[in-house]
Amino acid sequence: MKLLRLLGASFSMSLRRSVAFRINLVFDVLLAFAGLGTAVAAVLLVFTQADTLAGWSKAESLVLIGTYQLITALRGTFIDPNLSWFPETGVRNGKLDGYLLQPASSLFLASLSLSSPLALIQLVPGLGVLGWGIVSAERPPSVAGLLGWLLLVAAALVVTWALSVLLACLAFWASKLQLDVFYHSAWQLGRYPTDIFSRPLRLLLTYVFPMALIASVPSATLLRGPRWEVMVGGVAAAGFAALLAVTAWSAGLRRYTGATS
Amino acid sequence: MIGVEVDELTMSYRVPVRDGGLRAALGSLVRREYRAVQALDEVSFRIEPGEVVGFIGPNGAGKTTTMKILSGILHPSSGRVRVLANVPWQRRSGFLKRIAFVRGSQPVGGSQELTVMDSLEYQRLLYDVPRAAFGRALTTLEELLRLGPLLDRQLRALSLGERMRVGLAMALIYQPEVLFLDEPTIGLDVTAATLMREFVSDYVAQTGATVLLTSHYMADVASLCPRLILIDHGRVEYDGPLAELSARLSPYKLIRIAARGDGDAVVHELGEVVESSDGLWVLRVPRDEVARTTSQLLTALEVLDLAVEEPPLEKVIDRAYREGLR
Repeated sequence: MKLLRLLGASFSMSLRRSVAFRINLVFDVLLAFAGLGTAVAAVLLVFTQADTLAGWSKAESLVLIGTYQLITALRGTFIDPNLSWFPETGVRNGKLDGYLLQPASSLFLASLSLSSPLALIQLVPGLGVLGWGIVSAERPPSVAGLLGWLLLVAAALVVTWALSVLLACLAFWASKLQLDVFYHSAWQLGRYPTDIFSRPLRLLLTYVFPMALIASVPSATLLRGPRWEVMVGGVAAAGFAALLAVTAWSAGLRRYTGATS
Repeated sequence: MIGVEVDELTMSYRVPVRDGGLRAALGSLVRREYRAVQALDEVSFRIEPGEVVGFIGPNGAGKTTTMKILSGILHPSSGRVRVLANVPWQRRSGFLKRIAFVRGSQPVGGSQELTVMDSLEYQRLLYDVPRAAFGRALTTLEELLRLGPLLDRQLRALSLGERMRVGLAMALIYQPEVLFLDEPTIGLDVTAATLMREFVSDYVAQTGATVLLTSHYMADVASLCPRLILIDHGRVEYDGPLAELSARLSPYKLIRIAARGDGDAVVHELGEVVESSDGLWVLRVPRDEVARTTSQLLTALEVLDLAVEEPPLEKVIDRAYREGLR
């Protein structure tokens, strides 16, 4: 409960802070539309030549892009402002020391206490494309499909958070290692159906660096209906990823020797 | 309950080392060598509730590492530590609400675009301070730290002295019982540093808080800390009253005397003259001879003024750092 109150207070303060930067607001809107526009244009171009893309219809592909955009917006709002460039900002600059002194979970404070409300603007075009995909589908999604989608989006967010935490935790073992660029590049793969990739890459993106779970799995569930093994797998993956993140964080803190004085 | 208990606290870690040059750099890719750094070596001390203790030592002596362990930021390699009967690195919420660690080098963390009042409000929520208690504490802090004009300003727009005042306010708004102050006056001008010292003194008098303070400014230590712990190379070299350290390191006192007439010969006969000018002399005299020498000076000269002084603290501490105490 306290964590939710802190999250609310932090979001409110971040909003107060960010409305001061109107130019940033304009550019965030432009960037959101430009990024999404290129993704949608690429998909539409493919569908002028073919009816399906690795088994995905045009409507399903739009749902996938919309879902991907939705999760990207939430990641940009609640996760990135905290854990991006963590070795530099968190460890070397001493921000982590401050979190460790505060009477709340240090993992929560380090990974979720800051937010970037303007990034939520990316939700608007994302929801638009999602709606476009649903309307374009041959038949509307079932209630079970919708609930399954919601559950898998939640699982995807947990996995996204856990991956960011795990990457940040590398700073405890290798303080110079900065894999954010790699992570952001790999993240881009999530906007395409995993079925278009070769089998080894598909396995990698499903089980090792589960980008498939980010958008492909929830999108397929929304329009094709839920499959229990997928639902259980998604929730289990989220639970496992979260457990791994918490364990790595605790182990990292035991190794932590502090920022320089 | 003892405020702070530290028994045989040890902290060591490994750092990679190599010789200079490309060959050594390439060699370190294959075979990496490490050196163990002993940041703290069986440090032990106790601080009773309400005590204000100066924790001094040269750079790299282990002061900040000790404070980080006592405040729960770092896990030590070994040793037993209790702060308010808690193991600090377990970082229990109840414990963290009872301590504060304020660093002069980083007085205020968090988003720098927020106003001081926004930041204090966030502290209220974080530390579960009831609104009424928050209001009372804020009123007191506003007065003691002259916070009023700063409340609606953004953190990033504050001067160093103002940031330190706000940093203290943020740390004290939840009324901690133990304060770890790491160089609280670093970089401050004389007025700001004096205000800070007065504030800490008032806070301790009002709340009975326990304070462990590090500072390279001896004025901080002399005005706030009846007891000193001197640490060097990770070991406690001295733990006791400030006056005793001064006596131990400097077996002399200074007699400052002003007299009418030509007293030069008399003064030179009675002690080592370290300064002299126009009827004013400063003599360095062994401590156990101060009374006798003073009496002889008063008898032999027409004395206008006389004062017996301890040697400057800076010199005493400098000598302790350079020559050690063993």
